Amino acid sequence: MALIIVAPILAVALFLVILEYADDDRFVIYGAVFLGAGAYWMIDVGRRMRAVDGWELLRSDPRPPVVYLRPFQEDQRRRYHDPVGDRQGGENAGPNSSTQATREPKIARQITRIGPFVAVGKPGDSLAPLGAARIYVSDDEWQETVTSLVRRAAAVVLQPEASPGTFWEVDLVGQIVDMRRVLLLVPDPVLRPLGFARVRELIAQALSVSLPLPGEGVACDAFMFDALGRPLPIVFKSSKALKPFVQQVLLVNGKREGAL
Amino acid sequence: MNDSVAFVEKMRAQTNRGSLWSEIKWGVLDLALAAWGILLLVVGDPTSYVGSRLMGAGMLIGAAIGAFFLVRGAVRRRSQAGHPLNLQFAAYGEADAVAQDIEADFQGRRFVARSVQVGRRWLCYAGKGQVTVRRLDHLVWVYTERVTHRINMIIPYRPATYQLLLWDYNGRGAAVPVRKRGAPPALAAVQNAVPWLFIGYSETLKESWNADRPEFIALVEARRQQALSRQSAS
Repeated sequence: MALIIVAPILAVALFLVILEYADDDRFVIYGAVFLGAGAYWMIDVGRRMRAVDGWELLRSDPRPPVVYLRPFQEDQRRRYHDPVGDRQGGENAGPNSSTQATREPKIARQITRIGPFVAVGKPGDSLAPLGAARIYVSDDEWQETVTSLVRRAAAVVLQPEASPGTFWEVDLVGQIVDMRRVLLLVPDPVLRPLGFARVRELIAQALSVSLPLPGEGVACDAFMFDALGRPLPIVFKSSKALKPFVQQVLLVNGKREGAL
Repeated sequence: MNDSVAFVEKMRAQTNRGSLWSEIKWGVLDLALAAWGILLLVVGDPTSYVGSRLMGAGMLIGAAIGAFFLVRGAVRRRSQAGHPLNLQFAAYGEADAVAQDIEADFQGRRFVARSVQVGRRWLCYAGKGQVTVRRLDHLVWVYTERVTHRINMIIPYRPATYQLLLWDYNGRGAAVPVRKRGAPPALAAVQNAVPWLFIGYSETLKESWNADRPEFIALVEARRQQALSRQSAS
């Protein structure tokens, strides 16, 4: 908490010092940029340090959890402004800026209306990422933990990928979870038609669900499923994008949203 | 000069001129740094005697280190294995065989320095201090990139320049300078030679290249097979 409060104050104080003593405008401009970035980083670290441990959250919140299943590399995946790769020759077009690719923090706030949002943490995490509360388990017990969590889950947020661990998770969800309680995160079929096609094939095999073809040109970030198992696309445009899914899950689980 | 290797030899000569140009440019800068260091050491700044001499000594040391790397680079570039053109060839196999294949591909064509040369199998460029050789059927994505030149990312200090970006299936990219007017014909020539690869830039191609590269490359390969079977059918 201290970091979150101190970081912006420190940044402003240091900026005032620069303003007072710097006689070159460049120091002021670069100083502001570096201090802003530094403060942002410190606030981010502070928020991650404050993140609740998954086990603790499950103990303190009696509601059935919402389990987030994804490949671990999704936590670190970045979306780059320019194509990535070794480049030879020519002129440098500037640094290739990037942002976090995961949509986890975006959906976390809405999903927690259903229940505590938890995910198995990547072994070796120094700080848990923002979004779902992390549960850290050893390699030999993660499948047991995930099975137990999924069995009592109110809903499952599934981000399938072509990795053995995720195959197993998709299979597990297909066997024991009502599809109306599944939120399927997919690569945007307009921006990443090839990634979407890969996930579509995987889902067709493991869950016997047919997603629309990527060439149909409709952008979406996720799918929920109706009572007939039909996929309904969801776009994370607004903060209420997941409302239909939240309502459906609460209804399926025999609760009313207002009762919470 | 053997006539059968005229194109490659001319490219080699241009590469040598380009290397020499870079060596002279960096050599002059290095000498200037050394001269400045000596000046500070000998004359010095009367207000800060020790400081200016320390700075002069630092500059001299920097210039000496720079000279070492310059000489080492120059020696390497003049060796058979370290020549920039041979290094480009090495990615595609034995240098002589690659040179002969390039020669056959550009037979009867004149080599133009600082211009992208597109054959049926190879793309070649040799300019000031840059030489690029790419096998066309190894490429998967080609587009033009506009580079803006700004002070502090705000104030433009010279007009935008253009370069052709060539990505191959190993994820290796090459940027080749082109004129604004020269970019579309170069892209058209590449597309004509290898119609299956992706030409032009889009967010979808960029995201697919960054996030779904194996599928991207597999798609190019599928397009290649399709184009080749269409060609053989016709």
